[in-house]
Amino acid sequence: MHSIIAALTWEYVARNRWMLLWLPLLANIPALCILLPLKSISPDDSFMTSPLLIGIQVTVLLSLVLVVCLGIISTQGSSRRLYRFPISTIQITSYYFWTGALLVGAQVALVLWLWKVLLPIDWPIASPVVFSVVCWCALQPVVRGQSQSLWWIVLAILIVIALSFWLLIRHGVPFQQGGMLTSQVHYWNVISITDWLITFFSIGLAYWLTAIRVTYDRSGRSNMPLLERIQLALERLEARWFSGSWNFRSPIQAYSWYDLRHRLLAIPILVFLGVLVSWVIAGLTAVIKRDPGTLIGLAIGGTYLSAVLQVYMALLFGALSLFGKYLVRFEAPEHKLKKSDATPFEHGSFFNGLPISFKDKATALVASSAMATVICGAVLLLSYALIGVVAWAFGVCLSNVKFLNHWKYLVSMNVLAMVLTFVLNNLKFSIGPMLWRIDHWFWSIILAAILVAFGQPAGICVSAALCVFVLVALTASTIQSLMKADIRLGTALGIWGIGTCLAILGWYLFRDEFGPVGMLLLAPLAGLSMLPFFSTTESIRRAHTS
Amino acid sequence: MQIHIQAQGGVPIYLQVMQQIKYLVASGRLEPGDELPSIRSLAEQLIVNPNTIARAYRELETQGVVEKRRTAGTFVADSGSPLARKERLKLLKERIDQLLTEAYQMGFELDEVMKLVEQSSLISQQPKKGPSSHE
Amino acid sequence: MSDFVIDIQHLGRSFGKTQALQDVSLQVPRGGVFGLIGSNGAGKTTLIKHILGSHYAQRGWVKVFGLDPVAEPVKVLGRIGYMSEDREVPSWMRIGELIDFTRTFYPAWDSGYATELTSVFELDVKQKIRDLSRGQTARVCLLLALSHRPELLVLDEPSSGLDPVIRRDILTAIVRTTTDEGRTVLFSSHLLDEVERLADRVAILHQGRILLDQKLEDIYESYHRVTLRFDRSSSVAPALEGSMHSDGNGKEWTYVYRGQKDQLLAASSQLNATVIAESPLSLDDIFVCNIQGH
Repeated sequence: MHSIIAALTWEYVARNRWMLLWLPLLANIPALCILLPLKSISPDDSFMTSPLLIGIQVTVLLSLVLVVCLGIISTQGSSRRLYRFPISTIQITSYYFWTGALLVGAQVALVLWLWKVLLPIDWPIASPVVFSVVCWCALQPVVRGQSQSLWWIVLAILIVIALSFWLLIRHGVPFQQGGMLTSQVHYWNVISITDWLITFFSIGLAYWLTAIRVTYDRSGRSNMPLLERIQLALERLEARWFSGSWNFRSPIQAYSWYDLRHRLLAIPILVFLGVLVSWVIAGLTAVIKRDPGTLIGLAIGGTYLSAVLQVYMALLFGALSLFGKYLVRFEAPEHKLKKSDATPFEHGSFFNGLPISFKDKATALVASSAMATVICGAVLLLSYALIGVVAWAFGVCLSNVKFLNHWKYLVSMNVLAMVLTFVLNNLKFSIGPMLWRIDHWFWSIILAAILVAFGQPAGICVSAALCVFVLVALTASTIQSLMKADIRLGTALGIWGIGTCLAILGWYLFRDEFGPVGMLLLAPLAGLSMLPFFSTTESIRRAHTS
Repeated sequence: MQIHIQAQGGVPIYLQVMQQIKYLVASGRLEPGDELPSIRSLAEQLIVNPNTIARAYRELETQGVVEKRRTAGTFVADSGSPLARKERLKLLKERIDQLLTEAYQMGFELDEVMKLVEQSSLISQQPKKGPSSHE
Repeated sequence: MSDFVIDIQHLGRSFGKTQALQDVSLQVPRGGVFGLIGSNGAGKTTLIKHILGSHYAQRGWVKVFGLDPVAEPVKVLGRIGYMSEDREVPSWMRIGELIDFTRTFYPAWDSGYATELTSVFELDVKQKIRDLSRGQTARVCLLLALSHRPELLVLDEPSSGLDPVIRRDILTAIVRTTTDEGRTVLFSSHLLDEVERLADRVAILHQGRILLDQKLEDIYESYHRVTLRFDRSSSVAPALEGSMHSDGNGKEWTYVYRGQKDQLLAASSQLNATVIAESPLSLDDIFVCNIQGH
C-alpha cells in the first residue's frame, strides 16, 4: 500500500514538474502588472498603505487562490484513474485531498513571499495561506467525481460566497456604503481562535463529503439523478435551438467559430457569471441594507473583480495551451498515449487534414481571440452601463460613490484587463515560440546587465529588459512575416501605427500617475498585443509540419 | 449468382471468381445467354477490387466461357462452342486429378476407384437425367 | 506531370534516436487501390503524415499530385480525403455542425452526396459526436472524407477496432471510390484479408523500410511454396538459392521461394531434388516470410 502511494507521488511530480514550476511563477504576472505601476503612483509609497490597496490585496488574493487551486486540480487530474488500483477509497481521497492542500498552501506562501520581496508592501502571509487551504478543501467535494450536476455548481457558488464573506469580515469590511474604502478596513493579521475553529470544522466537513463523493463515484452511482434530468432537458432545449444548420461564408469564419467554441468561450461565460453573481450579491445586500449606494458599490466592485478574473482565466488557459501537453500524458486513454497527440487546446489530426492556408488559420485564431476579448468587454461595459442606469433611477450621485473617485484607475484597469486578455488568448502561437529564442533574449539580458551595473533599481532593469525583448521579438517577426509574404506591407504599417499611437496615448494619459516603470511596461504591453498579427502564421506553419 | 470469396486461401481472388463462374456454367446453373452481373455490382457485392472482377471476366472471355456484347454487358457464351467444351473438359480433368491423388493417398487402387465411379453414376442417373439438377 | 499520384523518393525520417523511415521510395499510380501493410510501429502512420504534409522530409522528397505537400498544403489537402487512425473529431460538435464546418473548407463538397451518406450510414445530424459509438464515429469520419469526392482517399488503419458491419461500410466505400475513373485509394492495414480483397498494389513496410512493393497478382506469381525431396537426408536445410524460408527434416524440406517458377525448377534440379508438393501462398504467409526473413 505504501509503495502505491509512493509510486503515485513520484508519477505526479515527474509528470508535472514543469507545470508545478511554472504555475506559481505565471500566477505572479497579472498581479505584478497591476502592482508594479501602482508602486510608482506616489513617490513616497503612501499609496501602498492606503485602504484601496487592501481592496486590491483581497482581489489579487482571491484570484491567486483560484489560479493555484485550478492549476493543482488540473495537474492532479481525475481520481477515476486510480479506481482500478488496489487501494482503498479513503487512501485515494486522502491522496488527492492532503497533497493538494499542501501544494496550495506552499505555492500561495511562495508567491506572497515573492511579492513581499519585490514590492514595498506589508501583507500578511499566514492568514492567506490558511484561507487558501480552506478554499482548496471546501471545493474538493465539488470537483471530485465524474458526474457534474447542477447542484454541485450551486454548492460551489455558495461555498465561494461563504468564503468571500469570511475573508471580507476578517479584513474588517463593514457592509455599508463605501465598503472596502472605509478606514475600518485592515489587513488580516491575526488568526483568531474562531478562525482556527472555522478552519478545522470546514476542512473536516469537506473531507467527509469528499470521501462520500469519491465512494459514490467509484461505485458508479450518480449523485443526483433529478438534476441530471434537468440537464438533459436543457440539452434538448439547446438541440432545438441549434437545429438550424450553420452556413459559414469562408474557412476563416468556420475556423474562428470552432476556435472560439472549443478554446475561448469559457472566458466570457465566466466573466458573465462573475458579473451576474456580483449583481445578485449586491442586490441582496442592498435589499437587506435598504441602501442603493451599497448596490452600486458592490456592483462596481464585482464587475471590476470579474475583469481581474478574466485576466486570470486567460492566463490559466494560456498556460494550459503552452504546457497542457504535460498534463494529458497520464490522463489520455492508453491507445492515445502518443507524443504527437492533441493537448487540451490543440487541434488534432483531423484539423491537420483540412485544406486551410496557414495565413487563414492564423487570421481565424487571432480573430477568435479578439472576439472572446470583445465579448468580455461588452459584458463588463453592459454591467457598468447598468450601474449608471441604476444610479440614475435611484438618484444616487455617482461622484459620491467612493470607488468612482478613482475612475481613471478603474477605466485603465479595465482596458488593461482587455489588452492582457487578448495577449494571453494568443499566448501559444504568439509568445510561446518566442520564449525559447535565445537570440531574442540576448539584447534584453545585456541591457539588464548594464542597468544593474549602473545601480538602477530592479523594477527599471526588469521592465526595460522586457521592453527590449518585446521590441526585438516584434521586429524580428515583422520582418519574417513580410519576407514570407504572410502579411502585406500596408497592413503591417497600419498595425505598427495603431500600436505606437496606443502606446503614446497611454503615456500621455498617465504621464502624471505612472512612474518610469509603469511607462516602461506600457510599451511591451502594446508590443505584445501587436505580436500575434505577425507571428501566428509562422508558428502555425511550424506546428503543422514537424 | 452466388459466389463466395475466401481471402487468405492462397488462391488469387480472380482465379476464385473464374473457377466458380466456370463451375456454375458447367453445372448448368448459369445457362448460355444468361447475363452476368456488372463488374461494379459484383465488386460491391463481394467487396473485392473491381479490377479483379474485370480481370476474371476478361480471362473468362478469352477462354470462351463468357462473351461481351457491346454496350449490353457480359453474357454466358453458347456452350456448343468447341472452346467452351474444351474448357469444360479441362475443368473435369482437374477434378479427376484431384480425386485420383486423394485416392492414391488413401491407399485405393485405380480399379477400385473406377468401380466406385461406375456405381455412383448408376445411382445418380436413376432419379435424374440432366446435369442441371443440382441440390 | 507524371502519372503517379504519390511519388516518394529516398524518404528518411528519424525521431530522436528512432529511425522511423529509412530510404523509402514508393510510387502510387493513378487509379486503383494501394495497400500499405506492416506491423504496428512499422512507420505506416509516419509515412501517411508525410503525404499529408504534417511531416517535412528530412531526407529525400515527397510529391503528391506533383506538388510538395509541405509547401502547398491547401492545393494538396483539398484533393485528399483523409481518415486518421484515431478518428479524432471534436467531440462537442453535433454531426450536422461538423458537416457544416468541414464543408466550408472544400469547394468541391457535394452536399447531395453527404446527405445520401448520412441516410445510408443511419446518422442523426442532431446527435453529438461524444454520444456516438466508435463505429458511428468512424462512419462520420468516412462521410467527411468522401463527401468532397476526393481524387485521393487516404485511410489510415480504417477498420481497426471496428465490428464487421462497419468494416463492410468502409470497404464498400473503397470499392465505390475506385469504380469512379481516375480516383485513387491508399490505405494502411494490418488486416491482410482486406488488403487481399481490395488492393491492386501492395507495399510491405517493416521497421521503416519498404520490403516489397508490387502488384498483388505479381506477388502471387513470384512466391512459391514447394516441398523438395533430396537424395540424402541432412540435419539442416540444403541451401536453395532464392529461398526465403525453409522447414522440414531428413530428406524432405519445404521452402518458400521468391522468383520465377522455371528458375525454381532449375535450382532444385541442380541440387538433385524432386518437387513432390506445391501449394500457393496467401498474402499472410508472404507477409510473415518477409518480416522474418528480414
